[in-house]
Amino acid sequence: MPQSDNEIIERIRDGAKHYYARLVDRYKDRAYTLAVRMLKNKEDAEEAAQDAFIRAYNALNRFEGKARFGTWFYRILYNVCLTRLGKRKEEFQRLDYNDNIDYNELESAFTASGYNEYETNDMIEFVKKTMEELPEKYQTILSLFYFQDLSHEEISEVTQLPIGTIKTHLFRARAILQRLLQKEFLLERVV
Amino acid sequence: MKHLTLDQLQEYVDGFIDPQRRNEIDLHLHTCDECGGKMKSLRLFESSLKNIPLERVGPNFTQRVMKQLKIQESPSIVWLIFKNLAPLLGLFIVIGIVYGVLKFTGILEGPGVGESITATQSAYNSVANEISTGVSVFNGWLKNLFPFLYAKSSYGLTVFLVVLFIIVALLDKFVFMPIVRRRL
Repeated sequence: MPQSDNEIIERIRDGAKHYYARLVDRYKDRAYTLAVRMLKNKEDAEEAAQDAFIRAYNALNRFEGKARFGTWFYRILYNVCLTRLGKRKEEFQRLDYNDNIDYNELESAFTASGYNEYETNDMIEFVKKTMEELPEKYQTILSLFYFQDLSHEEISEVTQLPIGTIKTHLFRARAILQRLLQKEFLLERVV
Repeated sequence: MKHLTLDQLQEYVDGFIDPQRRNEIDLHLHTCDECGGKMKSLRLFESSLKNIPLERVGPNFTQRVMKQLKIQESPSIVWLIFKNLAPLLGLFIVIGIVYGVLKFTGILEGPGVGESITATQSAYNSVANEISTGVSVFNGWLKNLFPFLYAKSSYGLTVFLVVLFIIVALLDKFVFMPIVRRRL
C-alpha cells in the first residue's frame, strides 16, 4: 500500500489511476479551506478545489517531485482561485499599505491581561470568527502558513512572490488580526 | 535589556532567530513579567490559529472529482473476476450463437452431418481416452511421490494442503497481485 504522496504518484503513473482518490482525500479539506479564505464563498470554493484537483491530475506527468506535492498542488489551486477572482486579482496581490495599523497602540494593548482569560476552545472560536473579518489576501497568507503548514519559501513558491514580501504580508496579517482581536476583546469585556 | 517588541517575540515564536539571540530572549523572559505575559498571550494566539478546524468539503467530493476524471475509484472483486473471465464468456456466447444459427437453419440435420458428428464423436472419445490414460499415469506418479496423500490418516493431507495454501498465498501476494495492480 503506497503511503507517501510520491509513492501514490508513482503508482498512478504506473497505471493505477484510482489511487488518485487517496490524494484527493488527503488534501480536499485543506484545499477547500484555502479556497474559502481566498474566495470568501463556499460554493465557488468547492468548484475551485474540484477544478484544481482535475488540473493537477492532468498535469501530474509534469510534477518532477522537487517540491512537495502539496506545494505544487496549492500553486495550481492558488492560480485557479486568482482566475476566479478576476478583476480583484491585482488588488489581491498588491501589498496594502493603507491598513492604518498603529503598531505602538498594538504593542501597548498586547499585554498579559489580554487573551489569557479565555478558555482554549473559546479562544479558537474567537480567533476564527475574527479572522473571517480580514481581507481575503491576509486570510490567504495566514491559511497557507497555519493550515497548509507551508514555510516562507514554500508560500513564495505558491504565490510567486518574493520571500521578503511573504514575511511582510504575514507580519501585517497577524498584526491586523491581533488588532481586531484586541477590539473584539475590549468590546466583549464592556458588554 | 529593553522590553521586547511584538516583532521580536513573533520571530522567537516562529523560530527564525539564531541560538544566541534565543538564549538572550529566554533570559529576558524569565526576568521580565511584562514580556513574559506578552509571550504567553502570543503563544495562545498562535496555538489558537493553528487549531482552527479546517473547513469540510461537501459529501462525495472525491467521487465527483473521480467521476469528472472518468476514473473508476477502486475496481471491485466482482468486476475483476468478470473482467478476467470476459474472453471465456465471449467464446461461449459466440459458440452459442453459431450453434443456434446452425440448428435454426437446419444445417445440423442436413445430409452428411450425421457422419461428421460420428467422426467428431470418435475423435472426442480418442482424446478422452488419452486424457484418462494421462490422468492414471499422473495418479500413479503422485502415489509414488506423495504416499501420505493416500494414507488412511488425514494428517499428511492436511499438512500438504496447508503448505500448498501458503505457496499459493505467497505467489498471489508477490507475483500475481503486483501484475494485476500494474494493469489496473
